[in-house]
Amino acid sequence: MTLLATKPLYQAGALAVLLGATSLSAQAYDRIVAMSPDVADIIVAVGAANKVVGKDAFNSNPALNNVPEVGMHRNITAESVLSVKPDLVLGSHMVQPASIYQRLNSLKVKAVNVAPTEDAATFTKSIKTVGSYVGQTSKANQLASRWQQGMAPMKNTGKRYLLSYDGRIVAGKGTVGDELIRRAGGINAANVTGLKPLSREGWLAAKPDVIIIADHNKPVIGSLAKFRQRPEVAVSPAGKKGQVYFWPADEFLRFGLDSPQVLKKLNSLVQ
Amino acid sequence: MSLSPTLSTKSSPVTDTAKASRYYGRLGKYLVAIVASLVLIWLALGVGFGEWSSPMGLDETIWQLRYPRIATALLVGMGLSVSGAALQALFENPLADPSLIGTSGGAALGVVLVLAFGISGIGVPLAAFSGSVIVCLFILAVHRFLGGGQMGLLILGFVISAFCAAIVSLILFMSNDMVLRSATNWLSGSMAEAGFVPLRYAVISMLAGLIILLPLGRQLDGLMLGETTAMSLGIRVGLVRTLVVVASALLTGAAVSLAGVIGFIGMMIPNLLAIIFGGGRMRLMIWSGWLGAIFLLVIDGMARHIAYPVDVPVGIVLALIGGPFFIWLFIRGKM
Repeated sequence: MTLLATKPLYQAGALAVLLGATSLSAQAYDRIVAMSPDVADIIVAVGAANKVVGKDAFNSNPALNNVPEVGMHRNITAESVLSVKPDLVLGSHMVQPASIYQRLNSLKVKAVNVAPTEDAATFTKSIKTVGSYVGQTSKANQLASRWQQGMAPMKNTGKRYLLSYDGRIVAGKGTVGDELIRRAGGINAANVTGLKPLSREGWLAAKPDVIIIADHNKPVIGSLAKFRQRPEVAVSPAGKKGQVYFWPADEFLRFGLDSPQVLKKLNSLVQ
Repeated sequence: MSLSPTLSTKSSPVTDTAKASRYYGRLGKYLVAIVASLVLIWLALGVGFGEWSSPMGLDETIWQLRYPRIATALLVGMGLSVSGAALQALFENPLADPSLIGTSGGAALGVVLVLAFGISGIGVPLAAFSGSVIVCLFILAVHRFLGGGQMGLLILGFVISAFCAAIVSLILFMSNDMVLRSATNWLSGSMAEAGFVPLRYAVISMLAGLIILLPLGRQLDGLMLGETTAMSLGIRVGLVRTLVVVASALLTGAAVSLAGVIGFIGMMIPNLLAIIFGGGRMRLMIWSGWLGAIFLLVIDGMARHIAYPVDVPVGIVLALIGGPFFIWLFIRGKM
């Protein structure tokens, strides 16, 4: 009897906790700090740019041009975040130190890491999470669904890609670049794990059809023509066919709302 | 009295034999060094794609990748070791290395400025060379103004190098992740740039450094007896000090422009030779140059083979070896 009586009580309690949790995330926050650029882009995309009172110094989203900076996501401090009196602080795995979320929460400011890991599923989830916090759930769900569809793997092209930061370091297995290549129907020519400097003979053995390098490294590399003259590049299919490009690093460094377009761009290079 | 010249001009068969034996002994050492160098170069040419194959049938592309790397390793190892041998004598300190005269700090600053601000018109290697020479000359100029002898130069080198390191850290902290990544790789010291940097400029700079430095061997021996003794021997201490620092800057600046900031080798090699063979500073500088070149060639070849296809910065490998060596040197000094 006691057990039967307590069960509905337990269920009611659990429901109340769940509802409480839902209402907590659904609570409309009006003063939000976006500690990392990926999260800031999502907030803007779901139409809540007007709620952002602080951003990180590397944010280049034009909708947040007039928003005060609260530090750099690579080394952000609680004090600078608190200076803009936020009621919610959002960020991702990009924010360092990772303990900042715990620190802010201990100071009674709600701080959420919406994307603790760097994978496509987590990014989709982060769009929905951000939407729920800024009161734009349905818009965010639609956006997440579009993003997910856009990231659907394309038909295998069998072409080999090398995504590089500076003509040496390449995106190997387990990186965002690797995921983008595979979803674009290609093969990652970098036979390494993580972001690693590939030896010049490693470049030669990779035989890439397409090479993409971060465009901020142009001053280091020189021109594309100069890069293509490197012996290991000149003999590669990419070098012979002129399939060597400079792209913004953020396009293949991390997932972003533009990742579906990046997939199409990658795929179209070999069509 | 009058017999003395006669005695000195005449030599006994025993002395002649001893002289000939010394001559052939020296010749033998040089021959062994040359043969060992050629064998190691030949072996290093065969290392690639995670295996060893005879370098006789290398195709042109592979040859274009390997020979600059081997030449770079030899030049960098030689430049840093000769410079280290000279600076250890100048500072009368076995732990002295080229970074003490600001070359590493200056090179790092030059490179980070180029990477972070995308300064056009100057490449990374040139920035490294300019940075190292400018900071070194700045240290010399301040030392000339403030004085303080050898200890003053040592302190200035240390302080200004630390100041450069602080600016580098600040710039890296302010720049984005990608610049940080590129700079970190470069600052670790790597042979990966081999072939991108024209060797002729580095060779000219190193030759100039060697031409200035090698004839100063005897003066450096004098300096090792202390500044006062050196002056009493007629050595122009100020001039020798300036020449040694400038020559070392030319050697290490060129080395840094080829392979980034590589530590420990300039400290290790001369110490090792001084402990095993001893001898005058000129001899020590020549042999340090040889052993440094061969040592870096071997370390780079092994790193290339073991880590393929990843290009492990050789600076990291040397630091791994250098740390225990430093401790060994310290313990040995205590005993």
